[in-house]
Amino acid sequence: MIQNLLDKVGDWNPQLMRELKGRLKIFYVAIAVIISLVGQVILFLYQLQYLPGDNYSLTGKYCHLSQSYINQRNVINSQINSLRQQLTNAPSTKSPNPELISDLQTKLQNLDTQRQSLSNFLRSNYCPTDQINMQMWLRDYFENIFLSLSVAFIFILLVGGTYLLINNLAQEEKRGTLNFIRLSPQSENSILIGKILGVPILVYTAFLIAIPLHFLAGHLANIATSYILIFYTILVACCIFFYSLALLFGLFSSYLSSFQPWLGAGVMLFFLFITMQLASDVNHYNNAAVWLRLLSPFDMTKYLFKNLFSSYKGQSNLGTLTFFYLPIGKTLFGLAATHLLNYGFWNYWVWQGIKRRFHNPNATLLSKKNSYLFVAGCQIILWGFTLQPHVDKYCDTPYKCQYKSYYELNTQVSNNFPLIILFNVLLLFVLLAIISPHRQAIQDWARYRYERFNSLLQDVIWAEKSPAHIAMLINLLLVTIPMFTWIIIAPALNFNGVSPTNWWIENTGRLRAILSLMFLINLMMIYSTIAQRMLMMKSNKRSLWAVSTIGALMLLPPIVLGLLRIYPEKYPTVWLFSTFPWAGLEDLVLVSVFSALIFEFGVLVLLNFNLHHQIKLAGESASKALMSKD
Amino acid sequence: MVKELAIQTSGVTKQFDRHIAVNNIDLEIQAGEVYGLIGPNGAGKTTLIRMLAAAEEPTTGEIYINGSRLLRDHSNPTLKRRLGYLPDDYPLYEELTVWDYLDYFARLYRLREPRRTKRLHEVIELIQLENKRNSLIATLSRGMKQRLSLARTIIHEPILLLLDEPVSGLDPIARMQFREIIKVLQEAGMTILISSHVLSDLAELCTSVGIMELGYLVESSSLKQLYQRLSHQQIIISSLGKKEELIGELKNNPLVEEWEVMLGQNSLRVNFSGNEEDCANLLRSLIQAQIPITEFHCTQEDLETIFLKLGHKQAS
Repeated sequence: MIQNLLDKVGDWNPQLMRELKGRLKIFYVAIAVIISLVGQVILFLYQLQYLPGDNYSLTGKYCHLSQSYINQRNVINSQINSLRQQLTNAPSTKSPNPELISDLQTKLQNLDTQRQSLSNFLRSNYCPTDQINMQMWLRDYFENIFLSLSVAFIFILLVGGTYLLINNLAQEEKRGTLNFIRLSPQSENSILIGKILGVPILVYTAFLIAIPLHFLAGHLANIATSYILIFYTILVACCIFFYSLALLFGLFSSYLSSFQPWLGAGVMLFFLFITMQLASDVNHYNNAAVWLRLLSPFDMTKYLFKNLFSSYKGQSNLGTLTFFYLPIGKTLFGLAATHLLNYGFWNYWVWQGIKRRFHNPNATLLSKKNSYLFVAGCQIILWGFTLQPHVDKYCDTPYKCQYKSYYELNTQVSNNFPLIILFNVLLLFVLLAIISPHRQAIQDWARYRYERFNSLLQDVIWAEKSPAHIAMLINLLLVTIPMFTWIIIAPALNFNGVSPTNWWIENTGRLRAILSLMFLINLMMIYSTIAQRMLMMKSNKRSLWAVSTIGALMLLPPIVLGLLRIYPEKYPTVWLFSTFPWAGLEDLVLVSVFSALIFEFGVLVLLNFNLHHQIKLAGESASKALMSKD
Repeated sequence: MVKELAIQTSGVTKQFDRHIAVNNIDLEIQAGEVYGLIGPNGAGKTTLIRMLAAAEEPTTGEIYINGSRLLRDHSNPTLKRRLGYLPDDYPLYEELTVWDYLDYFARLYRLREPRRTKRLHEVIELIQLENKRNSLIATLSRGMKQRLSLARTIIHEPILLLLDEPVSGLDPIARMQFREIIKVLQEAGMTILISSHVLSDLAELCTSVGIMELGYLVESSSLKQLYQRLSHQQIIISSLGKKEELIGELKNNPLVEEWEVMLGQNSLRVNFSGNEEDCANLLRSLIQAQIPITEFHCTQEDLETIFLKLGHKQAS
């Protein structure tokens, strides 16, 4: 029967059949089933240790009588407290009454004795078995099993699957067998979907074996079936996204060889830990970084199952989530759809990279045209989650402060501005790595460009192998145009007039902000030109060189300045030339800022001259180079 | 009638850094031919074959397979189904059995039942691995693995086979077996492009040859034309008498260009510019001069000699 099934699978997807055939051996399947079952039994027994028995406390959560005893104890405690208060106050009155004091002391002693005897009673007596609320205990018991399994599913599926997929792809690439599959008429979708479904099949088996218990536990814990199904849907979407990312990583980083799967799985584990911690502790979703949190299933899991983390912060705020003021968090359906759309967006771009890289391991991950669409899409996401009506408390006037709660657009944007800048700088850094062509491609382009009759401008904006620094400029403009727009229209958005001294609204402040964005553009263009120049080096390790040089250029100046105690308040000019020019901007006269900007622009022009010269050299025919030597 | 072209390239060039591996090659191979590609190491043979198999992208130039443009970035499923490519290294899935391996590739190339099982039986019979069909690939000998790779290459009945050094590293028996299989495929009508170290194998198999050097295709013609143009007729003559007498008699014939005494034998290799009738006349004159001839054998210079004559120092 299994053979027949495999045969049918093979007709639909040969790659899946091949992966299953190699893995669905009785021994391996048995081990996966046993591990899953043993895990479930351990979880079952572990939770069972809290079963209320004959020695269950009278004040325990599940004892019907607990409330009356707790009330009694509370009454005594409050009486004792009030007597103590009276006793403390009595000597300080104008005419202390010794009789009253001694009366109070006697009462206090009586109450103490009462409390003592109550404690003794509670200690020596246990909750009668017929007074134990077993129904409630069972509900909590099953809820604990359900929640523990949910967290285990997330970790095992994501970390295990990621490791296996990267490892499998790395092995195929090492053996050279992937080349044959590439040459077959199967589409990359069919091959890689086969891999995603087939390679982690033993992890899936362990997961599927645990589903009945998970589902049953959820049902017995009175968790709505629809909630459980939404959890599964989100989990599946999450797996599809991270598995695709793992495949892309596998195709992109074969030079890391055996370290590759460990690195991938390690990063996955780290991401899950961090987002789990965030979901548990940070209940604030009205910011530009929320898309990253929505890539992890923990926030949604917490929203669905309120007792996931025994956090004092209580219920999840995910319901307040909006996107360009659209109340997407209002309904469960809206939230689930947002989650899926977020995965969909990122997954789409991951698959664009996979498609290009699978067929041609030397291709850049994104074409120039796609990079523009990708960057524009990222801006929509960042600004969509920034523009949320987050209600906060504001001072009415700076001098006579009376806090009022209302929504202030400018403050919301300026609070999110560092996040937008941070994500965009990271995005541009990643773009540098994934759209810049290497030496060979530039040579091919420069040498044979004339045969294709395209204009130079068209070529550098759209063509496959042309240098990427003009494309980077376009992407930089896509990133900064929304920022410029906001800075320009900020005063018009100051509806509440809350912060008239807010520097965003002042003209000089806005001019400085605009200048700092110009510094950012200039600086990123310098990095891009240097990176493109380094990617034209002869060394095989040119990518490594480029990444480390740009990394050093970005991080070293501020670190060195910090270590030498050259602070921006004292020496703002020096900071203008670092990665964070805005640190120096506040304290400088505008003339110095302009001169620094012009100087940096000069550096950019010089670097571009050099790059242009190198590209021209690369494009010369070998015979011309030979003749010019003679 | 002019046959359809199985392969046509125009200005195909591949540049690696400053080095031009394949330089502006215009290659035309007609359908049904067995085309041998010869050239020294580093001449660009493997790069050319890889480009024809869409495993490598040309820097510039166009490749047409059966009249359709071959592009690497698109998946070209129909065109890819017509190609079979056997690279010089042939990685295999060692953990699979022979049958499962071929079955997997048959499915990748979208062969459906009942055609698939029939085809699997056919190719396994062709490569003579019937008794190994359920063995793990890891247990096969090198020759068997090579034949299995060939089977993988032809499982989908391609009309164009690209074989890169298919017999290198094989023992003589394995080479012979491999040659026989290629002959069967040729008879089945496949167009085959084959590069090989072993020029005698190519001479036996090919209908046309191309010679590559420093990235250029310096020669490309049918084997027949090549022999006609470049190969000299040679006669091997052995006698029981003295060599000097034989040489004296040969000197009298104006069609004898030069001769060479074959080492350790009482034989001469004679370069002869006459036709078959002149050969007969020479034999008659030698017999009339009462030279005790034991062997008189007309032959042609082999491919290796022609290759060396063209000025190529290395026959691989």
